[in-house]
Amino acid sequence: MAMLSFEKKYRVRGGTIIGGDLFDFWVGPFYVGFFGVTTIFFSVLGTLLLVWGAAIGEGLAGQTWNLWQISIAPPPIEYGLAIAPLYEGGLWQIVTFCAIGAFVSWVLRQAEISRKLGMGYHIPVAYSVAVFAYITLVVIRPVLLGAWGHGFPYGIISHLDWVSNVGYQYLHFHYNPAHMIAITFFFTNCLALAMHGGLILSVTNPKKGESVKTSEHENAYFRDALGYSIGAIGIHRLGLFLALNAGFWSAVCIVISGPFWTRGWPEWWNWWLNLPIWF
Amino acid sequence: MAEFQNLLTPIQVHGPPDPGVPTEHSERNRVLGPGSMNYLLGKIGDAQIGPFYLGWLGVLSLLFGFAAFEIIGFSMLASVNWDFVEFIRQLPWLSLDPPPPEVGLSIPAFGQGAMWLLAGFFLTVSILLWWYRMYRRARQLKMGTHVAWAFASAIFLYLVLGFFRPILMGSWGEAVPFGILSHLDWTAAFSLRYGNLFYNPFHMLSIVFLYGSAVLFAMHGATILATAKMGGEREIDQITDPGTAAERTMVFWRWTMGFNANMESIHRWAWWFAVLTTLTGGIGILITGPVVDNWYLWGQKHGLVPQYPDVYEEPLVPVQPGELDAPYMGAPSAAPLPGLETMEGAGPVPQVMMDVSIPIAGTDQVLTWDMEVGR
Amino acid sequence: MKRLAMGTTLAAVLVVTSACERPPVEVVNVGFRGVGMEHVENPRQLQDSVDAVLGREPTEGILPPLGGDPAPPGTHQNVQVLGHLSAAEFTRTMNAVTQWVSPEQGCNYCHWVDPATGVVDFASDNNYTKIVSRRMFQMTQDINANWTSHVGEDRGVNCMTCHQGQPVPNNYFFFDGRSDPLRSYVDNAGARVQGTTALTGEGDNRQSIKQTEYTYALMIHMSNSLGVNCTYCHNSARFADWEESTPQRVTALRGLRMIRAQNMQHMVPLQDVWPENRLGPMGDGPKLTCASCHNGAYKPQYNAQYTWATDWPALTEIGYPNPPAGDTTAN
Repeated sequence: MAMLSFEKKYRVRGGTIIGGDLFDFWVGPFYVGFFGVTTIFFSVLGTLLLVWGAAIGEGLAGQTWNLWQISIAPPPIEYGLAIAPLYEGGLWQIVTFCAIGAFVSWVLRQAEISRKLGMGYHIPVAYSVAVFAYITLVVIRPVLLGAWGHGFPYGIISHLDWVSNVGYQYLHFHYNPAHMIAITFFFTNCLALAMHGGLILSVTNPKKGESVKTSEHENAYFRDALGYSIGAIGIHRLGLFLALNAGFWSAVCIVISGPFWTRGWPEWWNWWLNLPIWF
Repeated sequence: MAEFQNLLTPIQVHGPPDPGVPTEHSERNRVLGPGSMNYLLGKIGDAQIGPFYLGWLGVLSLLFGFAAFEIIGFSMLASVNWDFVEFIRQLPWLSLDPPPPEVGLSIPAFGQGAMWLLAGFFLTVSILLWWYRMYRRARQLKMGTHVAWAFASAIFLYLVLGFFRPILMGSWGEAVPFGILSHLDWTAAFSLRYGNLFYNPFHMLSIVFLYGSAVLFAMHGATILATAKMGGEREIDQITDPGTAAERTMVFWRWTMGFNANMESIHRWAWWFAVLTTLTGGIGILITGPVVDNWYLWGQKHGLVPQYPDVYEEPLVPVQPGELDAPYMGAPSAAPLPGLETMEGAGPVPQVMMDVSIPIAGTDQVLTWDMEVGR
Repeated sequence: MKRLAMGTTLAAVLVVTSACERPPVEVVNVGFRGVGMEHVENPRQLQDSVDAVLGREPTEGILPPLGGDPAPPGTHQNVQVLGHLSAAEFTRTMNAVTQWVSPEQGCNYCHWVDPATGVVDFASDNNYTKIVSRRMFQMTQDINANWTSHVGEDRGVNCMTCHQGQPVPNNYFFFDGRSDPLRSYVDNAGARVQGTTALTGEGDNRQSIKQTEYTYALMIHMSNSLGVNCTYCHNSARFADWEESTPQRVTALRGLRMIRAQNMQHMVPLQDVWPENRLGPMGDGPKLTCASCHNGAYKPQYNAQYTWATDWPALTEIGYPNPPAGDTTAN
């Protein structure tokens, strides 16, 4: 059975966001719920459309089932914000619609499960930042630039080609200040995750023969090493802050590239060199 | 409702500062003790600052790190002729560069990257001493050494970038410069030189783990905060004696995605994702150059590269056979600058100065004239 | 306190936003859909620079072509590269050059005035500017006759392309110790850094990171010279692959070779002609870059017709000297 030993007492119906007790049940380990059904609908439809696109060789010179090469491309820029013919990016548009439908359903599903379990809503809020970053890439920025064709293609390598080309449209993307901030958050997040994960493991997995250590040891370790220990609740606030900022600034760094800056990013820095404070 | 989301600590209870679990020498070596309280820090985390353990490892590490910092800083300051205003103004662009390629692995001369080598050496010593300090602190507190080994993974990447790979390539010039924008230039050039790093599978893995780390910490941080009202943040207790907080965190993810970690194993996921970010990244860089020369061609060879429909027209003037075969950039030229060799005492006049011949289009005649005419 | 905070915030927002542009922007698609081969342009800035180009068009002194047989021997004294023109076409050309290069300074910018008599000696080469301008005629003739693969059969360049109505063009470069990457505009033949084999052991590529940074710097210089980005020529995911590059990349390569030839054949040989005040910090004379003609536009002066060589035989054909009177060997 797909239930944890203590799980039964939590499997109580009720507490849904909409629909009363409609779909208020579990399948295997999964909770279904209204938003589970919409998630399934959108993700199955979207995935099948991707498979269809792969079957007709959409976005490529020839059909292939090679997983690395499959690419479902957005419409040409010329179509602007109109609906494109199915084989010229229309497929991409429907897949994008399905993806957003599935991601938003997933956010609401998380909210529903949080509510059923009497937890805070941190998880759906956090996940919605990732969804926001995705929507920035395929909706907000394309709309600001005036064409769906600015979205990225759905393919493992082809989306990397897109990243490369969009980066070099601004000559040297590393000079994008929001990109710098985003990368700093990503790296700092990775560092903090290593420190937190390592600390908890080192306290609960001490040297052979030693008993499990305490939160006083956690504090002592980082106070000794760095002069400060942020504490048990603080590290989770910090981690959430770092991770969400990484996603948020990633979205910022791409949305300003094009709509709010058309030249090379190295040139952007001239404002600093030209500040009136240098004498 | 926001109050119950536990984003800030509403009430702070400050007792006397915690002096820390006693260890060998801890009374002598813990400075800044017994610690002070900071209200703002207390809003997000622990209010106590200090004490700080200052053993001989720490002292030496800080000294070496300070030396590296000063060498880099003063080298940058020297590069703007000791003008402090320009130093601040140009700081993002300033750089302490590794030796030029022709130096190879020998000891470079002053002004040829010697300061880079020295700064790198001091920084490496500092980092290695700091690693041992992290290891020793864990052992003396009778804890596991997981933090130190995660740190070692990051050090591996650092050493690959500045030491292992340059040695395999036979040139210090392959290493990363010290500088805010110059290290970004290095990063871009590295990808350009080796035919697009995006096609490097270890780079792919490293990014997956880096992004995965953000996803994991968002999931974990959010899960703990969401159950903090049930004591979810007391992870050691929840690991050794799971309560309803731990149960709900597990049930939440089980219901959401059909799979869950537990209070302890989520930290193994976390540790491995973070460690693998730098480990796979380091491997990817280590083999770029010594083993693989062009990742795009490598990807093509192994079926990674999608072929897009050809949409480009031919050039208006057709390409001649051999026209596109451009030579390599070549070594940065040590030859005298064209034009300047005619300055007094600057060597012989090159052929092009003496006599210019221009073929007349459409004929086999060549137009020549004497430079001295009309002078 | 609150006011101070608001003021600071406002100032910060102003600083950040003043360093930005705004939508809508214009986008040109240069590759297959979805690959990100795009060129993003700020239409307001573009309009300003097009207006500036149109505003520079010379309004007087430019006559329709006059044509005619080459001037007979002895018509001119010391005419070395425009002997293929008729006397009328010669005068037309001289008038136009004055408009193109020295509209304010006039003929005497190049032609020497005898201080004793106050008479213009058109034959004299006493002014360095005359020697330079002769060389520039040769260079323009060479470009238009021999580099049609870059400047086009029917278009070409004239003096206005670079000079824009000024004696000294806006864009050129000197060696200054940090210009090493720009040696590719002068005497450094190659710019390739990527190898042709997947594995290091299979190939001969020993290019260093530093050389790559040189190539990158050169490429960024070319991009800025033309007001375009990397994807104007390259699919950046496969930079070296000619198959996946736009046709513009071929044109650009020819342009790079053209600049190298012009610098080596015409600019560098002028080294001893330049006076002190025309030399760079290391003592060398000015040299061409892509920006000399392009001035930040993908086609020089946005292809304005007044910068074309069309109908200027002085610039489209390789010239020769007007022989002295009585010379019967002339063609």
